[in-house]
Amino acid sequence: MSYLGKAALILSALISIFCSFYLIPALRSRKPWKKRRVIWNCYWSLVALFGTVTIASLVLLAAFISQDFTFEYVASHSSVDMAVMYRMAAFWAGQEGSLLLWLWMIAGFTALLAYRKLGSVDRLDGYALLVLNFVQLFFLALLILAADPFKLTTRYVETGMGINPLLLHWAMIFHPPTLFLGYAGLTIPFAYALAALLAKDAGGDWVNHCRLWTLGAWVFLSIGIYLGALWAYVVLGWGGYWGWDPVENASFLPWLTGLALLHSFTAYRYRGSFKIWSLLLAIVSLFLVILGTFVTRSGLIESVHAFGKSPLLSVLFGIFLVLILFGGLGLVAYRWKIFKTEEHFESLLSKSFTYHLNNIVLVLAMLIILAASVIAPFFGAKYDVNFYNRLAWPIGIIYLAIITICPLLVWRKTSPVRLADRLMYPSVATAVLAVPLYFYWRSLEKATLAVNGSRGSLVLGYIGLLVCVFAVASVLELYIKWSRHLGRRSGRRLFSSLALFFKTSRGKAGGYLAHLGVAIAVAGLIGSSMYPFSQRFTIENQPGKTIKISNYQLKLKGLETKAAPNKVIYQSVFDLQSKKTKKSLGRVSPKIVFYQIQQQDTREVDIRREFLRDVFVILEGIEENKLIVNIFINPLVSWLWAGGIIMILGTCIAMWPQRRKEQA
Amino acid sequence: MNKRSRNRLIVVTVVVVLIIGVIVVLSFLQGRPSYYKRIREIQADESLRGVSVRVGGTVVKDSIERDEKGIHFTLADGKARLRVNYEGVVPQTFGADVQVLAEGIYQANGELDAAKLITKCPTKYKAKVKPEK
Repeated sequence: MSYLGKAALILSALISIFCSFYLIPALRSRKPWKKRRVIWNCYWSLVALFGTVTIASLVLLAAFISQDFTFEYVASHSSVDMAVMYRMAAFWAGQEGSLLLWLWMIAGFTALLAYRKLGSVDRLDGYALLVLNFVQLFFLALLILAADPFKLTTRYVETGMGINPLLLHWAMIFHPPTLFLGYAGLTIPFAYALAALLAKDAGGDWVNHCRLWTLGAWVFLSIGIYLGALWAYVVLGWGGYWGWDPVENASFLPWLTGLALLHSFTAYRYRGSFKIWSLLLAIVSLFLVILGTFVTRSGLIESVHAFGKSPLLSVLFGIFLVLILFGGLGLVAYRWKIFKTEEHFESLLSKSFTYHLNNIVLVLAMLIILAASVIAPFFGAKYDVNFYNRLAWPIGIIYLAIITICPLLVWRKTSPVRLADRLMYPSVATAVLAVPLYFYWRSLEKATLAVNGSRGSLVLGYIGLLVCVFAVASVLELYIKWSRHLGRRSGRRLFSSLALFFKTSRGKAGGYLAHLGVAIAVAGLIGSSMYPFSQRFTIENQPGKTIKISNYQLKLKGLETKAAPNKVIYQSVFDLQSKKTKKSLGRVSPKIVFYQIQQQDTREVDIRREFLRDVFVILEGIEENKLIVNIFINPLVSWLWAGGIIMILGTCIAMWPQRRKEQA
Repeated sequence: MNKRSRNRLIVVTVVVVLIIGVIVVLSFLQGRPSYYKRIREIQADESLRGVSVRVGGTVVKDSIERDEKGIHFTLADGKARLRVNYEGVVPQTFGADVQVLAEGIYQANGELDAAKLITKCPTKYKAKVKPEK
């Protein structure tokens, strides 16, 4: 069976090579319509290539489902006790499988594009598919030469070695594939950018061709990062969700440039500006995606995700990175004059300028994180969480302010009177909420100082929260303004005008919602990163013993021991009560689980989520007749999760195709 | 007014970049990054006392103790041994025979007070290999 998989990959590589061999001259020909047949065949071969890659993937998937431990990859990531769902998800638990999954996705997107363009001799599509084909070839080279998923094991392990138990969680089932959908999807704007450069076509066509693909890719990237953070919070259980680990950062970098790319596309389509920005960001985004994977896989940088070294892998990745960056940038430099902007900058009070600032801040943020997590480690230096947070706070708050003002401005030149009018209601709302907000924020600072001393900043955090309030208010005001405007023209009432707004201006309506989500998420980030605190307690393992922290107390009900397949579970049960009223708020039961096959124990935390904070409890240890418990109070964390979902929802709405009549 | 607008754009952009740039550079300089050292290097070099270092090694079996202060264990690198104290939340994959990176201040008493603990396992998402019997 493994020979079938290997053969399928080699066949795929051959198809890819032959396709390029015939496609290049066909596209370069001055009379492409004469080459119609050749191009048609090449496109079909790309569809066939998806077929062969799928065969290879199915071979591996079947090996996992049937628990074929002759495959070394299957044996090292699976065990007899695993449920089917997890067995399938183990496909992407390691290096070889995740590269195969990624290839499968790129092949799928390529095949879909090729199929839809059958019969066309459009240069842009042709060049884009050619580029995609080369990317596929790279992945095939990796899989065949340096990361073989079909390698047979030299030692047979009857039960399989099992997967790291930390991965047995729904978020970990979806985190890698959504991330890969994002990574694979970002190949498409890259391909079209190169196509536009090669075809010398500076009109907006290439953007229109890849706009939805780019949006989709970014949404999946967002979901992937979100799930990773959620998993870290709930499963890794160290009290936080983001450690600025180099590999976390590696997925964040293309997210930042992808976001800048999306907005550059908008300007490109509506105003014919930000052309060079769009080209560069498309190239850099894929470069960062590949770089991020390289960083993860090569073991160059120590990190919790590092998979280990393989010299050939590093060389192949390195070659690809150099080709992408220098090839792409070289092309841009060469065709610079053709891609001059159609609209020139006029006023600082304009959407154009704030879009410009948007890109600057995002790219700067990316460069800072790149320098600190990828470049600095080459010199042996590593920066800690506080370093990143202290930069993220001011930059993030400035950024939120920029994206809040932007929708209030007009593309070229906004009259200051108009702007002041739009700023009025949000300013009033912010002024009103400023006082209670101050007392709330001050109380958080006090609580933190009483326990661990604080890393946060009273002033900066307060300003940040004020900006969040302003941002939320201004989005609501925009919705009301637009609904009223539509209502006047169509005679509808407010709510149905709002629905009409969502139906006819999905780009705006969805975009505003996404910004709303970001504002809420930023509030969550400020609260949970500036003033969380934790305390460790040792209590005797006797029912009735109590732990007191903040406004809560936890009363121990007992410690239970349970057995399950491959596991021994030690579960402590606490009654969480309000310290003042002694009213019970619910049960909190953190556990320690020991996995027999893996000889590893994990701590399953329990979290009591409230509107304004999370009470996060870890059972750290059981010694003789004592329990060691660590409790975190994380303010506003749920706002982060909620805000993230709203942001993703808003982007999906913005993507949703609507009838041609779009309001500019 | 193309040129004037162009110049204004450039000036404002440069100002913004400079402001952020200054904040960033200061952060990098004040950042006090930690540097990677081997156990015998810090034990030999007097100037590394009281400094923030990052040390790697394997956790020695039966050396792990937990109390209200946190966790205490011995790190081994070849023949070198280092006693480490850590107060934070212990990573899930921590345990005997696990490769670990401990980052913190190397004290005068020869122990490392770690502020951060990272478990480093090249086969992290593979299970530990079962011993051959």
